[in-house]
Amino acid sequence: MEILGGRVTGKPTAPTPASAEIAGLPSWLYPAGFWVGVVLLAVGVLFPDLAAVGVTWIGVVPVLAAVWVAVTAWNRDRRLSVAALLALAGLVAVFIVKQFIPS
Amino acid sequence: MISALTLAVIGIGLLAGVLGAILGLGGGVVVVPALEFVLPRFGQEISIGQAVAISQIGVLAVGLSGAAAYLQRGLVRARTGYLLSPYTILGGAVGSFLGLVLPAQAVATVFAVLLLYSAYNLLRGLKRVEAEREPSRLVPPAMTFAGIMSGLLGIGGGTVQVPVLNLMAGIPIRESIATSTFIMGLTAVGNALVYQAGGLLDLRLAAGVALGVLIGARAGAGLQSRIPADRLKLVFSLLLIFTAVQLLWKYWGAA
Repeated sequence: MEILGGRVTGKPTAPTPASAEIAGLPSWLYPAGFWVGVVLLAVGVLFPDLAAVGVTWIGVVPVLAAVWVAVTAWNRDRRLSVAALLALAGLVAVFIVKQFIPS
Repeated sequence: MISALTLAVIGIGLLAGVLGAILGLGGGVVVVPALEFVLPRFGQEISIGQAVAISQIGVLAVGLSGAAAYLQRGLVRARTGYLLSPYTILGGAVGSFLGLVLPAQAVATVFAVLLLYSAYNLLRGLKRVEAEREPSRLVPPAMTFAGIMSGLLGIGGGTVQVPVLNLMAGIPIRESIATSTFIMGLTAVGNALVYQAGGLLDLRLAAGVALGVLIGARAGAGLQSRIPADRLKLVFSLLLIFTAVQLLWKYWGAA
Protein backbone atom coordinates (compact mmCIF):
# COMPACT_ATOMS: atom_id res chain seq x y z
CA MET A 1 0.00 0.00 0.00
CA GLU A 2 1.14 3.54 -0.72
CA ILE A 3 0.65 6.75 1.15
CA LEU A 4 2.15 9.89 -0.30
CA GLY A 5 4.40 7.72 -2.36
CA GLY A 6 6.02 5.77 0.44
CA ARG A 7 5.53 2.04 0.37
CA VAL A 8 4.45 0.58 3.68
CA THR A 9 6.50 -2.48 4.34
CA GLY A 10 5.88 -3.15 7.99
CA LYS A 11 4.03 -6.17 9.23
CA PRO A 12 0.27 -5.80 9.09
CA THR A 13 -1.11 -5.28 12.53
CA ALA A 14 -3.58 -7.67 14.06
CA PRO A 15 -7.11 -7.15 12.77
CA THR A 16 -9.15 -4.80 14.89
CA PRO A 17 -12.19 -6.11 16.72
CA ALA A 18 -14.43 -6.03 13.68
CA SER A 19 -17.78 -6.00 15.43
CA ALA A 20 -16.89 -2.85 17.39
CA GLU A 21 -15.07 -1.01 14.65
CA ILE A 22 -17.25 -1.72 11.65
CA ALA A 23 -20.00 0.13 13.50
CA GLY A 24 -22.78 -2.10 12.20
CA LEU A 25 -22.50 -0.74 8.66
CA PRO A 26 -24.16 -3.10 6.16
CA SER A 27 -21.56 -4.47 3.74
CA TRP A 28 -23.69 -3.66 0.68
CA LEU A 29 -24.30 0.02 1.40
CA TYR A 30 -21.11 1.63 0.06
CA PRO A 31 -20.59 -0.74 -2.93
CA ALA A 32 -24.23 -0.22 -3.95
CA GLY A 33 -23.80 3.53 -3.44
CA PHE A 34 -20.70 3.44 -5.65
CA TRP A 35 -22.38 1.71 -8.61
CA VAL A 36 -25.58 3.73 -8.40
CA GLY A 37 -23.33 6.82 -8.27
CA VAL A 38 -21.47 5.77 -11.44
CA VAL A 39 -24.75 5.34 -13.31
CA LEU A 40 -26.33 8.59 -12.06
CA LEU A 41 -23.18 10.63 -12.74
CA ALA A 42 -22.91 9.14 -16.25
CA VAL A 43 -26.52 10.18 -16.84
CA GLY A 44 -25.65 13.63 -15.52
CA VAL A 45 -22.73 13.90 -17.94
CA LEU A 46 -24.93 12.91 -20.89
CA PHE A 47 -27.85 15.07 -19.78
CA PRO A 48 -26.34 18.03 -17.89
CA ASP A 49 -29.72 19.14 -16.54
CA LEU A 50 -29.65 15.95 -14.42
CA ALA A 51 -26.10 16.50 -13.11
CA ALA A 52 -27.45 17.54 -9.71
CA VAL A 53 -28.99 14.08 -9.18
CA GLY A 54 -25.68 12.20 -9.38
CA VAL A 55 -23.81 14.80 -7.34
CA THR A 56 -26.52 14.74 -4.67
CA TRP A 57 -26.45 10.95 -4.58
CA ILE A 58 -22.75 10.66 -3.76
CA GLY A 59 -23.37 13.07 -0.88
CA VAL A 60 -26.39 11.13 0.32
CA VAL A 61 -24.55 7.80 0.71
CA PRO A 62 -22.36 8.77 3.71
CA VAL A 63 -25.35 10.51 5.28
CA LEU A 64 -27.49 7.37 4.87
CA ALA A 65 -24.69 5.32 6.42
CA ALA A 66 -24.51 7.68 9.42
CA VAL A 67 -28.30 7.53 9.87
CA TRP A 68 -28.14 3.73 9.73
CA VAL A 69 -25.42 3.61 12.39
CA ALA A 70 -27.15 6.18 14.61
CA VAL A 71 -30.36 4.12 14.62
CA THR A 72 -28.97 0.59 14.79
CA ALA A 73 -26.26 1.34 17.39
CA TRP A 74 -28.61 3.17 19.80
CA ASN A 75 -29.11 0.18 22.14
CA ARG A 76 -25.78 -1.55 21.48
CA ASP A 77 -23.25 1.30 21.58
CA ARG A 78 -24.80 4.58 22.73
CA ARG A 79 -21.54 6.57 22.39
CA LEU A 80 -21.16 5.54 18.76
CA SER A 81 -24.79 6.31 18.04
CA VAL A 82 -24.44 9.75 19.61
CA ALA A 83 -21.24 10.39 17.58
CA ALA A 84 -23.05 9.53 14.36
CA LEU A 85 -25.94 11.77 15.46
CA LEU A 86 -23.48 14.59 16.23
CA ALA A 87 -21.96 14.23 12.75
CA LEU A 88 -25.46 14.40 11.28
CA ALA A 89 -26.33 17.36 13.52
CA GLY A 90 -23.20 19.12 12.23
CA LEU A 91 -24.40 18.60 8.66
CA VAL A 92 -27.89 19.84 9.57
CA ALA A 93 -26.32 22.94 11.17
CA VAL A 94 -24.28 23.56 8.02
CA PHE A 95 -27.44 23.08 5.94
CA ILE A 96 -29.30 25.68 8.03
CA VAL A 97 -26.45 28.19 8.16
CA LYS A 98 -25.73 27.93 4.42
CA GLN A 99 -29.12 29.47 3.70
CA PHE A 100 -27.84 32.74 5.12
CA ILE A 101 -24.83 32.81 2.79
CA PRO A 102 -25.32 35.26 -0.06
CA SER A 103 -24.54 33.54 -3.38
CA MET B 1 -23.31 14.95 -27.37
CA ILE B 2 -20.50 15.23 -24.83
CA SER B 3 -18.44 18.41 -25.24
CA ALA B 4 -14.63 18.51 -25.27
CA LEU B 5 -14.80 20.43 -21.99
CA THR B 6 -16.81 17.63 -20.36
CA LEU B 7 -14.32 15.04 -21.62
CA ALA B 8 -11.50 17.16 -20.20
CA VAL B 9 -13.05 17.31 -16.72
CA ILE B 10 -13.74 13.57 -16.79
CA GLY B 11 -10.06 13.15 -17.70
CA ILE B 12 -9.05 15.28 -14.71
CA GLY B 13 -11.19 13.10 -12.46
CA LEU B 14 -9.70 9.93 -13.96
CA LEU B 15 -6.18 11.22 -13.32
CA ALA B 16 -7.07 12.14 -9.74
CA GLY B 17 -8.66 8.74 -9.15
CA VAL B 18 -5.76 6.74 -10.61
CA LEU B 19 -3.08 8.79 -8.83
CA GLY B 20 -5.06 8.57 -5.60
CA ALA B 21 -5.13 4.79 -5.82
CA ILE B 22 -1.44 4.48 -6.73
CA LEU B 23 0.17 7.26 -4.67
CA GLY B 24 -2.45 7.98 -2.00
CA LEU B 25 -2.46 11.61 -3.15
CA GLY B 26 -5.10 12.36 -5.69
CA GLY B 27 -7.92 14.55 -4.42
CA GLY B 28 -7.79 18.31 -4.50
CA VAL B 29 -4.02 18.29 -4.95
CA VAL B 30 -4.68 17.07 -8.51
CA VAL B 31 -8.17 18.41 -9.25
CA VAL B 32 -7.75 22.08 -8.23
CA PRO B 33 -4.56 22.86 -10.19
CA ALA B 34 -5.68 20.72 -13.15
CA LEU B 35 -8.97 22.63 -13.41
CA GLU B 36 -7.10 25.94 -13.15
CA PHE B 37 -4.72 24.82 -15.90
CA VAL B 38 -7.07 23.01 -18.29
CA LEU B 39 -10.35 24.96 -18.27
CA PRO B 40 -8.92 28.25 -19.64
CA ARG B 41 -7.65 26.20 -22.63
CA PHE B 42 -11.32 25.55 -23.42
CA GLY B 43 -12.22 29.21 -23.07
CA GLN B 44 -13.67 28.84 -19.58
CA GLU B 45 -12.02 30.88 -16.86
CA ILE B 46 -12.26 29.43 -13.36
CA SER B 47 -11.36 30.98 -10.03
CA ILE B 48 -9.54 28.98 -7.37
CA GLY B 49 -12.71 29.12 -5.23
CA GLN B 50 -14.74 27.50 -8.02
CA ALA B 51 -12.04 24.86 -8.51
CA VAL B 52 -12.03 24.09 -4.77
CA ALA B 53 -15.85 23.81 -4.84
CA ILE B 54 -15.71 21.24 -7.67
CA SER B 55 -12.89 19.45 -5.89
CA GLN B 56 -15.16 18.96 -2.85
CA ILE B 57 -17.36 16.76 -5.06
CA GLY B 58 -14.24 14.94 -6.27
CA VAL B 59 -13.32 14.32 -2.63
CA LEU B 60 -16.84 12.98 -2.01
CA ALA B 61 -16.30 10.54 -4.88
CA VAL B 62 -12.89 9.51 -3.48
CA GLY B 63 -14.57 8.96 -0.11
CA LEU B 64 -17.34 6.82 -1.60
CA SER B 65 -15.03 4.74 -3.75
CA GLY B 66 -12.40 4.35 -1.04
CA ALA B 67 -14.88 3.51 1.71
CA ALA B 68 -16.52 0.86 -0.49
CA ALA B 69 -13.17 -0.84 -1.07
CA TYR B 70 -11.70 -0.42 2.41
CA LEU B 71 -14.86 -1.52 4.26
CA GLN B 72 -14.85 -4.75 2.27
CA ARG B 73 -11.25 -5.34 3.34
CA GLY B 74 -12.09 -4.61 6.98
CA LEU B 75 -9.62 -1.70 7.22
CA VAL B 76 -12.01 1.11 8.18
CA ARG B 77 -12.35 1.97 11.84
CA ALA B 78 -15.87 3.22 11.34
CA ARG B 79 -16.47 3.65 15.05
CA THR B 80 -13.40 5.87 15.43
CA GLY B 81 -14.37 7.64 12.22
CA TYR B 82 -17.79 8.59 13.52
CA LEU B 83 -16.35 9.69 16.85
CA LEU B 84 -13.91 12.03 15.06
CA SER B 85 -16.10 13.21 12.19
CA PRO B 86 -17.93 15.95 14.15
CA TYR B 87 -14.55 17.72 14.50
CA THR B 88 -13.73 17.48 10.79
CA ILE B 89 -17.24 18.60 9.82
CA LEU B 90 -16.94 21.61 12.11
CA GLY B 91 -13.47 22.43 10.77
CA GLY B 92 -14.61 21.79 7.20
CA ALA B 93 -17.49 24.26 7.54
CA VAL B 94 -15.14 26.91 8.98
CA GLY B 95 -12.59 26.26 6.20
CA SER B 96 -15.29 26.44 3.53
CA PHE B 97 -16.56 29.77 4.89
CA LEU B 98 -12.97 31.00 4.81
CA GLY B 99 -12.76 29.78 1.20
CA LEU B 100 -15.74 31.99 0.37
CA VAL B 101 -14.49 35.14 2.09
CA LEU B 102 -10.69 35.04 1.74
CA PRO B 103 -9.16 36.68 -1.33
CA ALA B 104 -8.15 34.28 -4.11
CA GLN B 105 -4.50 35.28 -3.68
CA ALA B 106 -4.51 34.06 -0.07
CA VAL B 107 -6.17 30.72 -0.94
CA ALA B 108 -3.79 30.21 -3.86
CA THR B 109 -0.79 30.89 -1.63
CA VAL B 110 -1.90 28.38 1.03
CA PHE B 111 -2.60 25.89 -1.76
CA ALA B 112 0.86 26.41 -3.27
CA VAL B 113 2.43 25.78 0.16
CA LEU B 114 0.37 22.59 0.43
CA LEU B 115 1.58 21.44 -3.01
CA LEU B 116 5.21 22.04 -2.07
CA TYR B 117 4.72 20.22 1.25
CA SER B 118 3.06 17.31 -0.59
CA ALA B 119 5.96 17.14 -3.08
CA TYR B 120 8.42 17.12 -0.19
CA ASN B 121 6.55 14.32 1.57
CA LEU B 122 6.26 12.35 -1.64
CA LEU B 123 10.01 12.45 -2.20
CA ARG B 124 11.01 11.97 1.41
CA GLY B 125 8.25 9.58 2.50
CA LEU B 126 6.04 10.32 5.47
CA LYS B 127 6.96 9.31 8.98
CA ARG B 128 4.61 6.50 9.90
CA VAL B 129 3.88 4.20 12.79
CA GLU B 130 2.69 0.61 12.44
CA ALA B 131 2.01 -0.22 16.07
CA GLU B 132 -1.20 0.66 17.88
CA ARG B 133 -0.73 3.42 20.48
CA GLU B 134 -2.75 5.47 22.95
CA PRO B 135 -4.33 8.48 21.25
CA SER B 136 -3.05 11.95 22.08
CA ARG B 137 -5.33 14.57 23.62
CA LEU B 138 -4.51 16.79 20.67
CA VAL B 139 -6.41 14.58 18.22
CA PRO B 140 -9.70 16.59 18.31
CA PRO B 141 -8.07 19.97 17.56
CA ALA B 142 -5.79 18.35 14.97
CA MET B 143 -8.79 16.77 13.22
CA THR B 144 -10.55 20.14 13.31
CA PHE B 145 -7.48 21.65 11.63
CA ALA B 146 -7.55 18.85 9.02
CA GLY B 147 -11.20 19.76 8.41
CA ILE B 148 -10.33 23.44 7.97
CA MET B 149 -7.68 22.56 5.38
CA SER B 150 -10.13 20.27 3.61
CA GLY B 151 -12.80 22.99 3.49
CA LEU B 152 -10.42 25.75 2.45
CA LEU B 153 -8.45 23.83 -0.18
CA GLY B 154 -10.75 21.04 -1.37
CA ILE B 155 -8.30 18.35 -0.34
CA GLY B 156 -9.14 14.94 1.06
CA GLY B 157 -7.14 13.39 3.82
CA GLY B 158 -3.82 12.16 2.51
CA THR B 159 -1.86 15.25 3.43
CA VAL B 160 -3.13 16.22 6.88
CA GLN B 161 -5.67 13.72 8.20
CA VAL B 162 -3.71 10.51 7.70
CA PRO B 163 -0.64 11.76 9.64
CA VAL B 164 -2.96 12.95 12.45
CA LEU B 165 -4.69 9.56 12.67
CA ASN B 166 -1.43 7.65 12.42
CA LEU B 167 0.95 9.73 14.54
CA MET B 168 -1.45 11.32 17.05
CA ALA B 169 -4.42 8.94 17.26
CA GLY B 170 -2.07 5.94 17.23
CA ILE B 171 -3.92 4.06 14.49
CA PRO B 172 -1.72 1.86 12.25
CA ILE B 173 -1.01 3.42 8.85
CA ARG B 174 -3.19 1.18 6.66
CA GLU B 175 -6.20 1.70 8.88
CA SER B 176 -5.43 5.43 9.14
CA ILE B 177 -5.63 5.75 5.35
CA ALA B 178 -8.88 3.78 5.21
CA THR B 179 -10.46 5.62 8.14
CA SER B 180 -9.43 9.01 6.75
CA THR B 181 -11.10 8.13 3.44
CA PHE B 182 -14.24 7.12 5.33
CA ILE B 183 -14.31 10.35 7.36
CA MET B 184 -13.69 12.59 4.35
CA GLY B 185 -17.04 11.58 2.82
CA LEU B 186 -19.05 13.18 5.63
CA THR B 187 -16.72 16.19 5.83
CA ALA B 188 -16.98 16.86 2.10
CA VAL B 189 -20.79 16.81 2.28
CA GLY B 190 -20.75 19.79 4.65
CA ASN B 191 -18.04 21.56 2.62
CA ALA B 192 -19.94 21.10 -0.64
CA LEU B 193 -23.12 22.51 0.94
CA VAL B 194 -21.26 25.70 1.90
CA TYR B 195 -19.67 26.16 -1.54
CA GLN B 196 -22.99 25.44 -3.26
CA ALA B 197 -24.67 28.09 -1.12
CA GLY B 198 -21.89 30.52 -2.00
CA GLY B 199 -22.70 30.05 -5.69
CA LEU B 200 -19.27 28.62 -6.55
CA LEU B 201 -20.26 25.03 -7.35
CA ASP B 202 -20.77 24.19 -11.04
CA LEU B 203 -22.72 20.94 -10.82
CA ARG B 204 -22.11 19.98 -14.46
CA LEU B 205 -18.35 20.16 -14.15
CA ALA B 206 -18.52 18.53 -10.71
CA ALA B 207 -20.48 15.56 -12.11
CA GLY B 208 -17.79 15.04 -14.77
CA VAL B 209 -14.96 15.17 -12.24
CA ALA B 210 -16.77 12.83 -9.82
CA LEU B 211 -17.52 10.30 -12.57
CA GLY B 212 -13.86 10.34 -13.59
CA VAL B 213 -12.73 9.89 -9.99
CA LEU B 214 -15.03 6.89 -9.41
CA ILE B 215 -13.84 5.13 -12.57
CA GLY B 216 -10.20 6.18 -12.07
CA ALA B 217 -10.06 4.98 -8.48
CA ARG B 218 -11.40 1.58 -9.51
CA ALA B 219 -8.96 1.33 -12.43
CA GLY B 220 -6.05 2.63 -10.33
CA ALA B 221 -6.51 -0.14 -7.78
CA GLY B 222 -5.86 -2.64 -10.59
CA LEU B 223 -2.92 -0.67 -12.00
CA GLN B 224 -1.25 -0.31 -8.59
CA SER B 225 0.95 -3.37 -8.97
CA ARG B 226 1.85 -2.73 -12.64
CA ILE B 227 3.04 0.88 -12.51
CA PRO B 228 6.51 1.64 -11.12
CA ALA B 229 5.51 3.87 -8.21
CA ASP B 230 9.03 5.24 -7.63
CA ARG B 231 9.31 6.84 -11.05
CA LEU B 232 5.73 8.09 -10.91
CA LYS B 233 6.49 9.57 -7.49
CA LEU B 234 9.41 11.58 -8.86
CA VAL B 235 7.51 12.82 -11.93
CA PHE B 236 4.48 13.74 -9.86
CA SER B 237 6.62 15.58 -7.28
CA LEU B 238 8.20 17.67 -10.01
CA LEU B 239 4.75 18.34 -11.43
CA LEU B 240 3.53 19.48 -8.01
CA ILE B 241 6.47 21.89 -7.67
CA PHE B 242 5.88 23.25 -11.18
CA THR B 243 2.15 23.65 -10.42
CA ALA B 244 2.86 25.48 -7.16
CA VAL B 245 5.16 27.94 -8.94
CA GLN B 246 2.63 28.42 -11.73
CA LEU B 247 -0.19 29.01 -9.23
CA LEU B 248 1.87 31.61 -7.38
CA TRP B 249 2.77 33.26 -10.68
CA LYS B 250 -0.87 33.36 -11.80
CA TYR B 251 -2.06 35.04 -8.60
CA TRP B 252 0.98 37.14 -7.67
CA GLY B 253 2.83 37.63 -10.96
CA ALA B 254 0.52 40.36 -12.21
CA ALA B 255 0.39 42.14 -8.83
